[in-house]
Amino acid sequence: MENNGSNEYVRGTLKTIVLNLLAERGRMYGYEITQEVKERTDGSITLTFGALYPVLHKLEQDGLLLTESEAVDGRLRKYYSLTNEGAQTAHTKTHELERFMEAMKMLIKPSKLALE
Amino acid sequence: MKSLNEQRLYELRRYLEKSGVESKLLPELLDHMASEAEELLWEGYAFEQVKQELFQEASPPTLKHLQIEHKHLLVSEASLTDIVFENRNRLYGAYVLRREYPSHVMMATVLGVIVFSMIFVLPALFHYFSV
Repeated sequence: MENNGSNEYVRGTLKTIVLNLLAERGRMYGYEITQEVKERTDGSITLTFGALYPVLHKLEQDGLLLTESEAVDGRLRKYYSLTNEGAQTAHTKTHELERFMEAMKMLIKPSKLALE
Repeated sequence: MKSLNEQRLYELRRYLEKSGVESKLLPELLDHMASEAEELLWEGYAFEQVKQELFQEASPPTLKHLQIEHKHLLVSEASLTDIVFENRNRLYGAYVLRREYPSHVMMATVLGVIVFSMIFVLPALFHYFSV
């Protein structure tokens, strides 16, 4: 998997991405999250193995995620879902990110005009 | 989708174990790699190619980093008391005593300060109201 330029920006928003997906889908396992992100962004954002799991474990420890393991095809699959606190955090974080993106647009726009 | 057979699953497990992934972390990473392998096999890649791809993504340095990060999380969660009692009988009572010791000390300190300051405050109050 190639390391594309957007990864630098993904790092700061990874928590929000994960929380937001879980808020929408209810229950997911790690690989499912990476696939969902890849599909929705047409492959322009790929969550790496090494980046995703520390975030999931941290969120779990902070009491934002619950886990349950299920046996699937001879191996254990660990599902993550939001706690009440996690659902609230997902909500506020998503709003924060939206506001940040708006601000970014305002910041980037002038330079675009200058290019034209 | 065809699921990964036992032998191939075992091969992935061995790889993770050899890279130093411990049992608390291993099942999750194994499931991730196996899911990815199944997807790639489904797309028509040979297992050898799939393995190469997987071992590149889950390279030994990456795994080592994950393992260290996981350990740090666990350590920050476990208090010193938990570490001391890791292999000891917690039900005997000493574990509870130790765990609750800080809050007992806190309570005793607060009560002590209040009682002690009363020695000075009460006569003053008494004097103030009796005049």
